[in-house]
Amino acid sequence: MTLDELKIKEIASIVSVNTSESLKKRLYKMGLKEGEIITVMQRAPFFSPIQIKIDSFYLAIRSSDAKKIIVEKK
Amino acid sequence: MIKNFALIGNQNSGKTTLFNNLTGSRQKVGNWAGVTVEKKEGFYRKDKNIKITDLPGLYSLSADTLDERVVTEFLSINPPDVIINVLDGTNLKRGLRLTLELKAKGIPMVVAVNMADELKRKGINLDFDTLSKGLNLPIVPISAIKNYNVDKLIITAVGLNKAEKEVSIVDEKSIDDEIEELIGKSLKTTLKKSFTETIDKVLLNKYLGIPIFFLVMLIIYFVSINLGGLLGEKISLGMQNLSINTAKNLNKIGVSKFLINLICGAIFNGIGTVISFLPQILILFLFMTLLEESGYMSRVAFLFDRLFNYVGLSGKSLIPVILSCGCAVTGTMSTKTIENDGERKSTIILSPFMPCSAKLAVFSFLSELVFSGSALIATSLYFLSILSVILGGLILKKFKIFSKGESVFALDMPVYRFPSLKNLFYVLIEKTKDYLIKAGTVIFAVSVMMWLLTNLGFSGYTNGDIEKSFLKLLGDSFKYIFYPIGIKNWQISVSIISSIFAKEAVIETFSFLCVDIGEVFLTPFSAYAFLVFILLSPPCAATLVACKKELKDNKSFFIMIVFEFVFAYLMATIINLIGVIYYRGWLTTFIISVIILLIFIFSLKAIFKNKCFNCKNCSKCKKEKR
Repeated sequence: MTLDELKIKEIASIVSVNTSESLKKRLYKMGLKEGEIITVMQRAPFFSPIQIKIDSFYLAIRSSDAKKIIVEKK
Repeated sequence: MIKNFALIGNQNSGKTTLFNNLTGSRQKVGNWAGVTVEKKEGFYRKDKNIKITDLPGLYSLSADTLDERVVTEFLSINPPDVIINVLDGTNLKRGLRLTLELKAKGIPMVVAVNMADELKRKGINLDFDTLSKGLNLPIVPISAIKNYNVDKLIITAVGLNKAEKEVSIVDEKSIDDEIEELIGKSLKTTLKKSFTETIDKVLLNKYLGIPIFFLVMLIIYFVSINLGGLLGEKISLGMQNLSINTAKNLNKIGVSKFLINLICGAIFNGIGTVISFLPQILILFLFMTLLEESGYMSRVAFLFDRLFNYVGLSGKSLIPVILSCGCAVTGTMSTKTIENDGERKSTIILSPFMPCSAKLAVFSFLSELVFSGSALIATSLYFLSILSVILGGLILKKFKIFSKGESVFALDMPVYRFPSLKNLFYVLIEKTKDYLIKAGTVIFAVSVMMWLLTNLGFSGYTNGDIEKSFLKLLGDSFKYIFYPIGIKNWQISVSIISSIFAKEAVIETFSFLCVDIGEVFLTPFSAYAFLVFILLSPPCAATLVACKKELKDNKSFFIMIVFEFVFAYLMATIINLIGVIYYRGWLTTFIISVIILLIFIFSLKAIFKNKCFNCKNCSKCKKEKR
């Protein structure tokens, strides 16, 4: 399944990041990469962006990008 | 010999707070990624032979973004003697990537694990010795906010021997493995319920989030205007007494009436009125600092990304937009965090629409005179400015230079923090200093200029007859431009011209020319239209310089000035027309508005004749594509 299908509070591990190369690189540096365990925290009004938690920090990405991130629910 | 130390670390890891503590300087800090955009230098307060450089935060040395390039260029052009790598102890795993990349550069390095005081409370158990051995680097646990261990950090850095190390090549995979190994050995975390998550549940709520933001901004404006106004009156009274007393004393010594008029009338009254808005401005900046330091800025970016992305901006545009409510120069400089170039440029062009502290002073000054002091006027203008940003975004989206490239959004949301009282205190001092300097230089210069222009005319000295002065000539020659806004008075056109130097100059001009408000603004609508024009017209000289620097090309800068002027002019005209309809009926208004519109359309057509802005939709562009 993809990251944008996860419900709030659901935990998953990232299988692959298939966004554009520049965003993928950016997310990688910010700590979002294959193998990481993530939790969906909040959704903004109108469903985008999504706040996710990795380790002990929080990131926000757009739903359209979350669609391109494959995850495996835990 | 001077030693060069450089502070390098992730965004929001506390480098600038550490820098301020080490050097005793007062660089701006805030709890959002990207506060520091340029390198800052200072000397260690206990040893002036140690130069410390604060650099923008980054995650990696790959030089993909503007901030990363500042750091990589710095490291290659003048490598420091020691790198102080600042790590956020609560976010160790993410920070270690940069540590390992820096280590490979072969420059002597010490690791400062910041926020060491918070680790225990957060359930993080970090074994510093194991980590130090694993990294083969000295580690000093510090707390930059509490000034804990920062001197020990410098002592450690000084003690490093300058052994030339081999520069090694790094590859991402091995770094990942190394981080996992280091973390596995030295870090144990027991999860605790986070305070940030509880607050986010409310502030980022799907339904409540946006209303809460507007409420917060409303409270800020109401408190600034009302409480600030109350305190300002006291200053204003004090200045009036000072002015009267000085006049008496000067009269006693036998100074000519004419000079007394200049000193007491123009300078004391004019500048005094400007200074009386100091409390209001200080309160506004205090709130801005609270917003910045708490960590709320990135939450606002989160809430509004959907809407702002739709109008060709980014959620991150909200940060410059909100900062511009304090000062548009600060706002403009904070646009570097926006990834997409077009979105960044649009943000630079649109954020000066926001009511900055100087415009707010003009609003409360005029609403006192025309609208019997209603704070609603300023509030409505604030909403109008947000609407204008959205509307402006939609228009700029049509220009190709502002809508190219992929819109990238990846937002760091730091945990909430309590603002430090020390920083709030510094902000108060800095802003007071800035404002008094501005009143003493720019505003003073404007008032002297005004005075010269009122007292001189083609016949030389006018002997106090303002009708013959250069100033009236200047005002008269421009006043026709402002007819559609409902301004038929030369004094107002003078005040608009003076606002180019600083928006507070409007207040100066009004008090200087002793304008009779009832005579100037025929209807409340034209007064409101005037305020709208001041709100949206191109910003003050200082902001223009900042915008030009950040926009980087002349074409965008030219578009910015034309766009802002036309936008302000149209909005103000529409508001004035509503007033005319209200007072004179439909027919006259209809005729007037049709004439104005026709003139406008024809002049725009004449200007943009044969110019194509690559709008993608027009027939010309479609032809070119084929």
